[in-house]
Amino acid sequence: MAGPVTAAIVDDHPVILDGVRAWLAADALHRVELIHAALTIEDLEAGPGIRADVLIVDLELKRGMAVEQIARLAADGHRIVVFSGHNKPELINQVIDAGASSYLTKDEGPDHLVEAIVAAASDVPYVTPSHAGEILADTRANRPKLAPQEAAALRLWFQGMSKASVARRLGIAEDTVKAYINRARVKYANVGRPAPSKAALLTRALEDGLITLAEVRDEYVSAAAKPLPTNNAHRATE
Amino acid sequence: MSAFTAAKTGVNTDHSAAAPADSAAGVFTTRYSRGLEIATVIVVAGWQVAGAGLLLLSRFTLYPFPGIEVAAWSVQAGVIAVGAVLLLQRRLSGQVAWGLVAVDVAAGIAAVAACPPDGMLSANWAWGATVWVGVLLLLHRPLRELVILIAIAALITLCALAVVGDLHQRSVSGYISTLYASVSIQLAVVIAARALGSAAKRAAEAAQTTARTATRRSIAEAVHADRQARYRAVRERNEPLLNGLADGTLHADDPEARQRCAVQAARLRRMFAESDDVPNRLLHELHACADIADRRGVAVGWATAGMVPQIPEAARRELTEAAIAVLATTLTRARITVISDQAGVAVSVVCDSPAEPRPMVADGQITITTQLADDGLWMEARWQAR
Repeated sequence: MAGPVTAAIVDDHPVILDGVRAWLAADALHRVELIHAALTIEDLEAGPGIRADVLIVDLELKRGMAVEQIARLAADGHRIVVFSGHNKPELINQVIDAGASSYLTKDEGPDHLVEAIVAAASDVPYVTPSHAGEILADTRANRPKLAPQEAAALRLWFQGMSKASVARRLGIAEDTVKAYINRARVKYANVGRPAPSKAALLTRALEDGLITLAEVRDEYVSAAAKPLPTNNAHRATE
Repeated sequence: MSAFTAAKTGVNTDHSAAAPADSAAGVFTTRYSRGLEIATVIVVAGWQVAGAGLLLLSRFTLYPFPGIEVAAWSVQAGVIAVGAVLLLQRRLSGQVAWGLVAVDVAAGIAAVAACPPDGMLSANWAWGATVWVGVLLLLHRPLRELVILIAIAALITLCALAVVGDLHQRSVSGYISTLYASVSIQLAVVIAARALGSAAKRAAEAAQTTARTATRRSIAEAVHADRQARYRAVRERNEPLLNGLADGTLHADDPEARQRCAVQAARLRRMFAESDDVPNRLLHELHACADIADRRGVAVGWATAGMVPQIPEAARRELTEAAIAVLATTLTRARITVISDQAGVAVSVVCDSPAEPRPMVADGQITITTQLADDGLWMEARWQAR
């Protein structure tokens, strides 16, 4: 990739902004450049930050949970990493369904924020441990079906193991662990309300060979019973 | 370990009241209904011997075929014996009960048919006996089934009276007074038993509700007191930390200060998570384990996935003990997770422990798996739901 990924953040707590700057600066490769910090989503949209590759949005802004704003930004084609003090499964469900690329709780910031932003910018999945827990606990009727290896990898990742340790535990390569976790995540790109970020995630997974077209038809579509989304077919109409 | 036990004793004592309260009501109703069944067996068997049996003996010479009377009486006594055993073993289904009623009625018909024509009421022991046997067999059936049997028995004797041509005014009034006397006693016994049964059920339910409310209140009070105490402790630890950072006596780049801050932050997050979680004994006990570890300076992270069910006490203790054993060897950081699904509950600790914990023996309730790697120790204790 040419140059660092650009990011903008919406958060109304100055201490969080300072923390995020510190975490981005701590990345030895300087993969992410913060170009705008806004207090509200309106400020973000009015400023230069709206052109950033990835938007970091605090779920809990002063005016309440920003789920609908996140859905609107995602429908406009933005890549969003949601950042929250909350760890409620239903909230994680909602923001992922709305089209957010990744979900982080605030204590996951130091270890996962940069990775999540870089992944979101290239439409590659990044599942944080808290998000893995949500996928494991998902009991909704239309939830995608996980393969046993995918569930096993998500379990150990949620429990706090490094991916290398998960690989050792399962007796597989670390890349295979990443593939299992990412495959589980990609299944969620094909359910719920459509969003360009979801379509892009599926397309990229197909290009990378993470999933095959046959799987998309047989397995991924069965959960949602709708055709493979394409980039331009998913502009939200509402 | 002893610190944990001592710290949580007050709360645990209150919590443990919930399960016994539920089963106590069950035991109460079961015991009551068992008493009712035994009483019914005694009354019915007593009537067969002292009522029907003595009538049969006192009129023995009047019967044209005494052998049939004795055989019918014996068959009904046999039905009482079989019915009583099945009733007390709770194996008396509606079908079996009515099968036995059929045998009972057949014996009754034979006995009535073999009565002397002029003793169709005075020597007729079988009429009342047939219904009493039914009182036992139909104890747990709807009342209308017993009423049907009463009607059948009354009809048998009425038919017998008609067949022997004894349907005149005196015998009909005798028939009605016999019918009234026997049926009133039989129905009175059954209705009273049922009334007592439902009163007992209501009393048991009321006792159960009271116990549940009391348990809930004591849990809420204990949890509240516990939380208040921890908030106080957190405040006491936060103040010097924040003051130190503010006045420069503590430096953010000092590893020890950072560890103290990490521990404090982890504790605050767990406290928020605990008030989010539905009250659950396992989670409550694990939170307490985490508190003990962070008093040693370990930053303990916390996450749950899925709704944690209430787990049998022995298994819950083993899950908690497994977490304690691992946390005891942890140096600076640990993450406790609880995953719940249909298969069961898995409590896991991932931490920077340098060694495997002492061998953990789980006596069949849970399975424990550990893995030691360069980046730390992973332990999972799993309880399998049936």
